[in-house]
Amino acid sequence: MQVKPVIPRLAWQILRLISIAAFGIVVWGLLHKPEFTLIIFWGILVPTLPLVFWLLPGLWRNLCPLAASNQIPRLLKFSLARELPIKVKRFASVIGLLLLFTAIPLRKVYLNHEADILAFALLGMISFAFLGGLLFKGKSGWCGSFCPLLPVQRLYGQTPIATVNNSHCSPCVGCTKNCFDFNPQVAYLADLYDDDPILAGDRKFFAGMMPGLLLAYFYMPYSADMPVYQLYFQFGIYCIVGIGAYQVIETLFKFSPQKNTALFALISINIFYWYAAPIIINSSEQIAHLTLPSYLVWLIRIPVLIFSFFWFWKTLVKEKLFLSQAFVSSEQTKVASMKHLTRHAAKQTDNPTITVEPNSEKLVAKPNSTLLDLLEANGHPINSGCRMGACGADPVAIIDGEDSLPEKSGEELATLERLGFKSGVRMACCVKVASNITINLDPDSVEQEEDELLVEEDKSIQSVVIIGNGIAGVTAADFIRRHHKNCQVHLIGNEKYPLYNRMAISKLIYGRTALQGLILMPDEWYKKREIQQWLNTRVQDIDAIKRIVYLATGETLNYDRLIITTGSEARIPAIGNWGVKGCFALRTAEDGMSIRTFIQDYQCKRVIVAGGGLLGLEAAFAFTQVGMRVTVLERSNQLLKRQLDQQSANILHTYLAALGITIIYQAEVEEVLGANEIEAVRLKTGEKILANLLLVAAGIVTNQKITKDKYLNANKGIIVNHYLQTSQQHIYAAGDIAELENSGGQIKGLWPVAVEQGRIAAINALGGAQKYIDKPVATGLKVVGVELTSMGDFIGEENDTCIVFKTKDKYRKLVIRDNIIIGCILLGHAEFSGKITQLINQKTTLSAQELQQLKSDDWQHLK
Amino acid sequence: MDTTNFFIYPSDSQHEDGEAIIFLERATDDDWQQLLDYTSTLRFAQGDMVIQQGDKDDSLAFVASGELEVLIPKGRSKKLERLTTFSAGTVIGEQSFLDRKPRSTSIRAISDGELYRLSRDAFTVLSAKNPNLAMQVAMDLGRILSIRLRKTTQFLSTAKR
Repeated sequence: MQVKPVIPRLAWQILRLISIAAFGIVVWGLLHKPEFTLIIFWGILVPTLPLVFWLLPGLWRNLCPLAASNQIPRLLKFSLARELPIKVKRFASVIGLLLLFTAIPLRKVYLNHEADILAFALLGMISFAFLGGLLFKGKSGWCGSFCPLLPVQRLYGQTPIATVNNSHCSPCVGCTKNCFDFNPQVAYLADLYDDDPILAGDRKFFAGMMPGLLLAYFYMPYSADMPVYQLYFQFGIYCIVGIGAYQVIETLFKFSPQKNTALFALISINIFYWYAAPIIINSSEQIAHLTLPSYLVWLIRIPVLIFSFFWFWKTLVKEKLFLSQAFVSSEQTKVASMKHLTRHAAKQTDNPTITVEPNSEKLVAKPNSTLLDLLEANGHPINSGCRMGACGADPVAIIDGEDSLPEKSGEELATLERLGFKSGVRMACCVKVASNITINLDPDSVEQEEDELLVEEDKSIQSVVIIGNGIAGVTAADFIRRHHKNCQVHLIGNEKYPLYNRMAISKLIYGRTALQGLILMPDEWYKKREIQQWLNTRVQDIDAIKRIVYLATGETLNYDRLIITTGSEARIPAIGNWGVKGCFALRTAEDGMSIRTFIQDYQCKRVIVAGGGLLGLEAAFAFTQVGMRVTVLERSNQLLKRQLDQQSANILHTYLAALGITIIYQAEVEEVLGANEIEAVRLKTGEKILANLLLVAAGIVTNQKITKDKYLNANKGIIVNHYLQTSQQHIYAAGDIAELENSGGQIKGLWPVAVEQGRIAAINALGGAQKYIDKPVATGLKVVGVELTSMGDFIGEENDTCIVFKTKDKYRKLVIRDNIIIGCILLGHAEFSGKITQLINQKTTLSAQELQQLKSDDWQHLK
Repeated sequence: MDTTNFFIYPSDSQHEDGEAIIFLERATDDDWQQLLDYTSTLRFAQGDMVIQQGDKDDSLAFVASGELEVLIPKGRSKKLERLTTFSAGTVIGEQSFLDRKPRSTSIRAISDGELYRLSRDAFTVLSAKNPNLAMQVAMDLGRILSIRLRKTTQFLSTAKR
């Protein structure tokens, strides 16, 4: 806020030398050519000074000969630079005021016509200024304290038209509170609003007194025979009337001090130039020995009047700005001591940083946090789904430092391949940063190479139809196109939207961006690959002999190969009165958005989630995020039966309960109560629970509506062999709908399985012969604060080794069979998840020593 | 009214902040350590826009080092002007943290530095794992806003005069 220098200091020093010289000339003139000099001094110099104070106070503050003499000791470094005693400081302005009050009536008595006395008075003043500079530091010995012109400068100069840098004080020594030289636009206001009322008192007093002083001088009748004491007495009366008027206005009109002092400044400056105008004209006439036209007086008075109103307005506007700034700056919230922050800083000085382009934002990595966690914690717009590298929601470009990152897991590799990223891109959820890297949230910022063909292009295949545009279908379409550049690819989707991140649909309940951000591939992706999308389109029938797909719109599609990926839908158990308003399942994006709409339309407060599986708990968390009271009903006696054992489920229970979720076990909904919309549910135990919304998350059933067909063998899903071929040669199935033969009707309903199958079905449909091999898949719970990885057989059989470590809120368990880890539960142990999933996937045989390490809680090598 | 911010003289080696409101004054070392463990670190360089007005970032941030300025758009040109500055030890973002509304001002770094962000998600986890500390944080933020509201009332009555 300090005024920036424009004119170099040296130039000012020279100007000041001239100013002191001019002062000397005036004194010399007073002694030698008194009449002429008096006219110049009182008729021209003094009457123009207020104009300078008013418009460019800084100019005078720099050029004043008194200031120059005051600063000589400092400039030449022989000033004692003492601190002005506090008592003196307090009364400094009073001294200045008294000097001024003494000087002005004295003009009438001596100074106006006695040149000798004036000369001595001026010499006296400059000596005092010099003495002040010799004794006291900065400008506190004269310019900022006793100078009788300072109150006038402050009053008139509170809103300079232009500011001039203070070229005296370098360096600033902070000698004066609310220094007028330091920040001239604000100094006066700062005094008025200062916590110390004395400052405001001084300003107000002088503002009130000024018009009185001026009127007393110019207007009050005076003759030389009036005794001096009477003159001073009358001056005093005028001043007191002014001060009184100030009080009256303040009291009656409640003007703010700023408004009132500005008003008095406006009055004063106009009074002054009303009377000074003729004096200036008159003096000019005398000096130049000519006669000037009388209207010239108005050429001074009227511009001053007009400008004074503009100045007044400017001053008032400034007050608002000042108050708001002063208000804001005093409002900061601080920590009591820096030690905690400093300590925290010291802890992570060696942590690697992640630079996020294009803004070059630098985030500091935390051990065991993924890049995704870090980006989320810092509010970056990144999507997420499975948080295990399978869904493909969070690819980021690694611009620099890719080599330093941990190796890609099989899962991540598959996802990146599906997304068409070969190098320079990683899934944020899979990356734990160990050294500095630079990333860009836009993965397409990295150029990728073209694919190689895996299978010979079969010219007899001209049309491939894929029913279902979930992840299995879209992956299949992608791989058909990768390995066959010329055939038509039709991708038929029942839903209204292109492929979205189904694993994240619970976010539709609390997220603000609806489906935006959940859509995994943009329209261009399909266009570029010439994949014909049919959205919001239902398939009515399939003729496997003629190879025709009949659409419900009446259109037909011929196919050479058909891939069925119709997936699954929510399983709704038998519940009485199911279907009244407020009964929902959560399987599609449409479901998620309808739930959010319903919550708003019906101002829902209570929700019941039937089902304590992954989806149920994720939905329960989503509901807490929109401020609802959530009750989870679980049929068994623990949460996440397919991911956790009893002990770990207890830990999870504690955490979820702390988030405000009520969990009731061995509870099933018997019927929904309410005529038009749900009011409560009755449990099988007879207990009644109030609810505005019931969400059933009781698992999935395959979607066989269109494929219940005599041509296809089916059980719970469509039966496929290891090549994912159905009982019809040209028809393949992938994803939830595909049931591997001899698997006992198991439907996994997992994203990574669908991806893998979609890829294999596509390659095999084009003539390949890849086998699908079932393998364990890691699953986790996407609830903030829960770090869970569950995989494979985590319960084990009688002869298996179980290694379990448990703390208050963490749990880890390995199930080992024949020295191979076949399953795990890692709750709150993100640090081990990467390595352990790898060991399980690769079926690595552990040595006796490794096994011993694991048992004795030495897991360092698993990090 | 405290006006020292208008006169930060270069010779003041230790500029005392007038009437800062103290956040978590009574918290212990352990409390602070736990709280900060839930934060995420951002390093900024001179000139970086640390917070953009309108951002949907709802985290609370602790400035550990560096100096920053608060900018507000002025007039028709919406040119950014400095409203105030602050430095290490300042807590920012209480409002967006509590009401989840977009940021009301922009903040730019005047010098290099570092800050710690406590996101709402992190706070949710904190409240489940350490409810007592989370309550202290929430209550103290409430108290700070209450002080602000009182001051606003006071300010309005000053400005009205």
